[in-house]
Amino acid sequence: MRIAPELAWQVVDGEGVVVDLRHRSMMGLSPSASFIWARIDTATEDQIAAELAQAFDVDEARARADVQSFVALLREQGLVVAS
Amino acid sequence: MALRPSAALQERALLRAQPLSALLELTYACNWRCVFCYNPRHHDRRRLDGDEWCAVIDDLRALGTLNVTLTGGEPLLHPQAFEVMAAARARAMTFRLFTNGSLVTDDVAHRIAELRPLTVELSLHGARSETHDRATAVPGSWGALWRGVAALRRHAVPIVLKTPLTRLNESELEEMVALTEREGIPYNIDATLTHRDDGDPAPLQYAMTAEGVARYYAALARGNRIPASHRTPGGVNCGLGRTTLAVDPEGNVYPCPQWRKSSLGNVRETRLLELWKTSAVRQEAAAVARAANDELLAAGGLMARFPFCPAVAQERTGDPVHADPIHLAEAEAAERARVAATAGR
Repeated sequence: MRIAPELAWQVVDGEGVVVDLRHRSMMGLSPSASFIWARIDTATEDQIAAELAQAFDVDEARARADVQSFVALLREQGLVVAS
Repeated sequence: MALRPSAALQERALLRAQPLSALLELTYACNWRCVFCYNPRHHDRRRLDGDEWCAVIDDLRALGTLNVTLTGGEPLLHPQAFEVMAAARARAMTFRLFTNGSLVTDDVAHRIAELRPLTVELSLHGARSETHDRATAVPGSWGALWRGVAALRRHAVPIVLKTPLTRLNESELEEMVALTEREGIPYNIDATLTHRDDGDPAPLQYAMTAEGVARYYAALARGNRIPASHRTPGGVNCGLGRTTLAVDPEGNVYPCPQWRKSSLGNVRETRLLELWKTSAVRQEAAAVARAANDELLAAGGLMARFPFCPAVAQERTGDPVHADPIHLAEAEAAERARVAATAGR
C-alpha cells in the first residue's frame, strides 16, 4: 500500500495537508489522521497501529480499528493504491 | 481555485519557520533577452546538475516544503529539468514551472502533463506581438509563446499567464486583461520591477510611469482586488526567512525569492537542511520581517495595511523595515483608486 502518486502532501505542526492533482483539490487531515498518513508508505497497518497507540495514548485495539477504517476510506477514495 | 494551505496552516508554518514553498532557479541560461530581467547574466558558470538539485529537493522535503517553483532563466534549458520536476513529484511535492513557452513542443507539453504540475506560468509582455517582442528583444517570441500555450492546452496542463507591467506595456493593460479573458486563461499582473540579482538597477528604467501605476490600481479596484495586508502587533510582515526560500543556479540559498543582500550559504558546501536550521542570515532575515511589521504598524497611515516587501525596500533605500517612496506612492495610488471605484459604484 502506498499513497497515490497523483497526490502531494506535507505535515505542518502535526496537521497534514493533501493536494489531489487529479481533481485539483486540497484537504486537511487531523493530527491522528496525519500520523497514520505519514507512515502509510513505509509501515504495515499493524506497525502504524502500535505507534499510534503509543503516540496518542490509546489502547492498541482501538488504534488498530482506527487505522483500518481510515485506510479503508483512503482506498475507497483512491488516495492510496497497492504498492 | 488557488491550491494553497489555509491561512491558519500558513500561520503555523510561519511560527515554526517551515519553508512551505521554495523557488529553484535552475539556470541563468535563457533564449530571450527581456530588457527588464532580474537575472545578472544569460549563461551559467557552474550550475547545479540534476543530482545536486535532487539533493536540494530531498532536503526541502525534510524541511517541510509542499511546493517548489522551477524557474530560470528559462528552466527548460537545464538539461535535467525533467528529472528535477520528477524528483519533486516523487517526493510528494507540487511544482510550478515558469517558462517563456518557446521550448514547449507537443512532446514537451505531453511530458509536463504526465508530471501533473500545479501550474505552468508563462509571461505575456503585451497585447500585441510588437510590444511583446520588444520587451523580450526576440523577434517572433510572441508566436513562440502562443504556440507553447496551445501545446500545453492540448495536453490539459493548467496554465497561468502573467505580466510584469512596465512602461513598455502599461498602455495595453486593459487589452491584455481582455485577451486573457477571451482565451479563458487565468491571469496575474506583477507591478514591481526589481534590481538585477547582482544589484544592477538597470531594469528600473522600465518601471511603470505614474500614469501606469494609477491605471494598474484602477484596474484592480474595478475588480475589488486592491491588495491589503492584515498586520497585527507582534506578527510578521511576510514569510521572509520563515516560509519561503530561494536557491540560485549555482546553489546559493536566500531567505526569500527577492532577498539577495546576503546568502545563507551554498548547498555545495553545506546541506540545505543545515543551512536553514543554523544560518544566522536566515534568522536575521526573519527578524527583519518582524521588525518591518512592527515599524509599519507604528508608523500608521496607508502603509500599515498595504503590502510591503522588505527585500525591495532594502534594494531601494538600504532600509528593509521602513516604507520607501515607491511603496508609499503605490499605497497612495491604490487608495485613490479604491476611493474612486467606491464613489463610482
